[in-house]
Amino acid sequence: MNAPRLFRLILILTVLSASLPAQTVTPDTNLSADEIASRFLAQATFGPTTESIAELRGLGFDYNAWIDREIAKPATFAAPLAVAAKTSGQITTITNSHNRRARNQVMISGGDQLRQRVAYALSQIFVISDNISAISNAEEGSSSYYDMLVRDSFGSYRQLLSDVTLHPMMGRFLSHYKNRKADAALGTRPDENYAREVMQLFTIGLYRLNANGTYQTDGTGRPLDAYTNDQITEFARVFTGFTDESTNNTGTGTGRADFPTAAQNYTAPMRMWELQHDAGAKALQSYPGVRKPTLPANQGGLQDVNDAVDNLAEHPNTGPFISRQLIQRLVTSNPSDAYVARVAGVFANNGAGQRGSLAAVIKAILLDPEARNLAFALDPQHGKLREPFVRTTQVLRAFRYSVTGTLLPFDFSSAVTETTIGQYPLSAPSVFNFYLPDFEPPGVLGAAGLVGPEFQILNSVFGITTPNALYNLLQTSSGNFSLDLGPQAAVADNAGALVDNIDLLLTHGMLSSGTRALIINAVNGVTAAMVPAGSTLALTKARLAAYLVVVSPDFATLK
Amino acid sequence: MSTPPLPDRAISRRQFLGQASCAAVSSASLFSTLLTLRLANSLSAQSAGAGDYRALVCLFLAGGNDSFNMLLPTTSGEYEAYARVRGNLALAKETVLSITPGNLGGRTLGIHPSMTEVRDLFTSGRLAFVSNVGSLVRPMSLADYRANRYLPLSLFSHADQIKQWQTCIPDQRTAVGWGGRAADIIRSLNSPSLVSMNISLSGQSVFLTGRDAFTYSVNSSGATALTGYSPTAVNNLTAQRTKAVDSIMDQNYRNLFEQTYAKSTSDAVDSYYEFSTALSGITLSTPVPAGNSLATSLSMVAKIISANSRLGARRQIFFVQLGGWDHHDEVLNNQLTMLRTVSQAVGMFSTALTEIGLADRVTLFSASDFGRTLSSNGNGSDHAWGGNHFVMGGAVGGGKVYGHAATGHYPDFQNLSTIDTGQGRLIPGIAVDEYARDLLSWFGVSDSNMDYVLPAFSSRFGGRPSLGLFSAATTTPSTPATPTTPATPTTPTTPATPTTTPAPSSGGGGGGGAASPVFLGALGALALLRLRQKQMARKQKPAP
Repeated sequence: MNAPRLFRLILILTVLSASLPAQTVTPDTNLSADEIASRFLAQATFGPTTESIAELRGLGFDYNAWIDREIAKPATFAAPLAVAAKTSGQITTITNSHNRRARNQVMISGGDQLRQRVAYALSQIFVISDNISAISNAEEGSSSYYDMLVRDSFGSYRQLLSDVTLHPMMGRFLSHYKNRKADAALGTRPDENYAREVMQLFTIGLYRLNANGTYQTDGTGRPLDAYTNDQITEFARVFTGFTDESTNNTGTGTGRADFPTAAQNYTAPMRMWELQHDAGAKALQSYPGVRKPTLPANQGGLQDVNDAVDNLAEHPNTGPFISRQLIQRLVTSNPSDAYVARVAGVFANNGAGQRGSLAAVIKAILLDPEARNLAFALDPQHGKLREPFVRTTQVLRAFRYSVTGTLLPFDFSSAVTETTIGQYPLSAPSVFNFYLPDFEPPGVLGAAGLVGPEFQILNSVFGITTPNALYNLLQTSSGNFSLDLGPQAAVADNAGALVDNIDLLLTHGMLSSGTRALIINAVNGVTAAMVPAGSTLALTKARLAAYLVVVSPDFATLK
Repeated sequence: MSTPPLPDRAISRRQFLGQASCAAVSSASLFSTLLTLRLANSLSAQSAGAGDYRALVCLFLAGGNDSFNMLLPTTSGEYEAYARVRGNLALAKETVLSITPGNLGGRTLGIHPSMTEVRDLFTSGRLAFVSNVGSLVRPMSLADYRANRYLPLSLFSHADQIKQWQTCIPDQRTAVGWGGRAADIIRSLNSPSLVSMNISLSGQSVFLTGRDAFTYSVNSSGATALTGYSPTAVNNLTAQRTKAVDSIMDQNYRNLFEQTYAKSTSDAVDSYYEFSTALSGITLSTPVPAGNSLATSLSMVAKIISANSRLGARRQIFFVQLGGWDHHDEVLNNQLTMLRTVSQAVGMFSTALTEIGLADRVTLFSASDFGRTLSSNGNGSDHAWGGNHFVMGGAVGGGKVYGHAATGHYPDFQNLSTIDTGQGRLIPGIAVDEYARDLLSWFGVSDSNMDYVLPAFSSRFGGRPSLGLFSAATTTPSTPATPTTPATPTTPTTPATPTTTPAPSSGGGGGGGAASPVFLGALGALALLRLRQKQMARKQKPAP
């Protein structure tokens, strides 16, 4: 999967020694306990705040205890917010915009931050998108899907996969909703869409994996396929017969109408309509220790589905495949093989003999030395580009966003949309998410054999419109969604203190000395004559410093 | 018989040069080699003369267009076979737009009923189709498929087939595309500019990514300025902010993610001024169909093309993507509207090119992940392999269908058994390499450089003749079509010391140095001057 780490280190050290002399800018890793906590919270939440840092301090900076507390917290759900707005008569129809606001609210303000952050990470693996009308027009359906991820974030992977498979929004997105068995008269056969993507993207991936996530290869170095197209056609037959959960149990004819007539149900798990389920025997994945490599005929549609979910969830690929992607979402783009192996080992067995415990997997990811040890922050290949939505939420939380109004107020400024920041939760262009896990950015990263998924949506359009969106947010001090830079303005007459205040919240004390000096210099150059109408010198300095940190490479990357 | 290996040594040398450029390894001899190569190119480019502008526009239909309903057989017997295999997805013969291609011996085909503009372009000789084209490792048979021989990696997977269409290296995982490699070779024809030769209307693509060449992205309304930033601001808050942003981005970040972000940001900020200055005042009278986002994007492409001399560009490659083609469901209804969108947009683009007088200088070609199964999954079709495409432009030998010659340039639906791998997943008759080779030859990539741009072509498909997409009269321009290029991949160049002071070898935008022949307003000129100074200052440093 990656070039051997040793080779990469040698390559990079060669480049460094040849080309980057003393003025090289590196993260500051001489950190206080608060700053170390802030870095942890950037990995585990939608952004550190003064309060969340204090909470960790109150726990004696015991990250293990903090995670246990987060796991024990009640979940916050989005769909009920949208439904309540409708029930109360404030809105007559739940639109896509209402769903987005409801999800923003639970992600940004939910007390269950770790759970929300993990659910958002899962939404980029088990992708549905509101860019198709069958989902954007499905009342609270997309929020119901997100809530399902929230509910399952700390449960078992097998339960998650089952819930994803049966959710009517996934049924719409990957078209296994009303997928029918073969019809010889019509010359049709089952839709392969879900069968293909559930293997390629949600469970085992394209290639046979070693326990550390690296590809198994043939003698020529070609990776070994994890499945054949024939297996896809077999799984396609499993995922037939799904339709709306309903009290109507009568079919009405042939063809498409062979499903019962029922109102569309956007939230309840799809039910099985046996008349359209392919009842024949089927071949599943075969691997060492497999329980049911084949399914007998006529055992019932949901039994087929349950067996197929087991078959994929227990596949040896699934642990390393899912673990690596969760590490990429939360910590670093290029985890070492050993890091993947450690997390995949916990996926295989959480210590209590349970497979696929997501709570244990998340804890293993966040407490791993590669996530925690500050020495890694100095490795030039460590870290990731922060995705633009998380950059945005981090700014909002750091600068004390406030909302007014009771009707789903979390539209956090019209400045932030997928057309300005390049992504929006549950709105990826396709099931392949906003970016691919193995995207190699052109330039030094690609040349070093490294991936940087988030760079797939950084280009010369979003490289400008994202800073512009954040600039606009930082200027917003009124309206139904605003930021409060009061604490920063209060210390703004001391430029060093001002930058350090922002550094704690946004860059976790790791702002490089070079960047820090440049920002201090800029702040000290602000005179009373430069203050815009309606602002103050202190606020002007605070906003300038905040903006410069926000656009800096120091903040754009998580190390 | 095994698959001929790719010319690895050739590639690795180019990779080395590419990496050197990207990482700015300051190995003196290597650096001077690059300088020498670029100087030589620059000189030869100047001697080639102006007026031979050319552009390629890749229109990528992401998701996998069901293209055997975009171009289908209508000859008696063939149509019935088509209708049988497509089942409830078959289009009615009387609804399709009938054409009689000039090279099919009287066989007729039908174009999807939504594509009247495309039909008109075809009949007027400005558009051709290419049939059953797809990613191939090498020419192969159904027996090879069944024996699991010579298969592209992860056949039928979206992400992988998209990549392979764009790299033409289907048996390797690589992130460099043939549009990018063409730019590596040919961009020295352009005057130094902050705006890259390769421009995307759809963000990052493998297609436009080269070893050296990078992509400039704009959206359908052009480029956006960084808020609160101005190179001309003096003694105010904006000046403070601008200076700080520049200084922050100019630092040498040791972390590769920080370094990549900083370069991306400063490239975007710097390119903006040259781009927006070059496009200022450019309008087209060709109307853009209402509500057609693809047409809006292609209209912007036409505007950029019309600014080619202001940008100092004699060659440009564009990437425009339209998504939403993964029609496992509702394929018939969706194609009715989406193919209309495509047809109207392509029609508009052709008209716009005529308006700016560059119709025979620009070639637009379609691409997609893969074709789809001929068989129906009930209400849609699934992932397959070979598919049909179109090529539009004044230089194209239009009114014809180009395909596998031995099967009459279009698959015989009465006899698919030798190419159907199951469910109507057809082995391509034409490799993407062959399609690309014709396009690149017209664009100006010499045969000797084709091994770099299409590493698999000569070793695996070299025995196949040109498709003949471009008629002879238009493939030979008035000025030399083939620029002198960097050392051919198999013949490493000996480093030499430049005898004159070369122009700076590369800038933030992949060019740099002397001023472009652009028309500049006073403000734009000042902004550009500041940027040039900034660029020169950056060159004093060993890293970007």
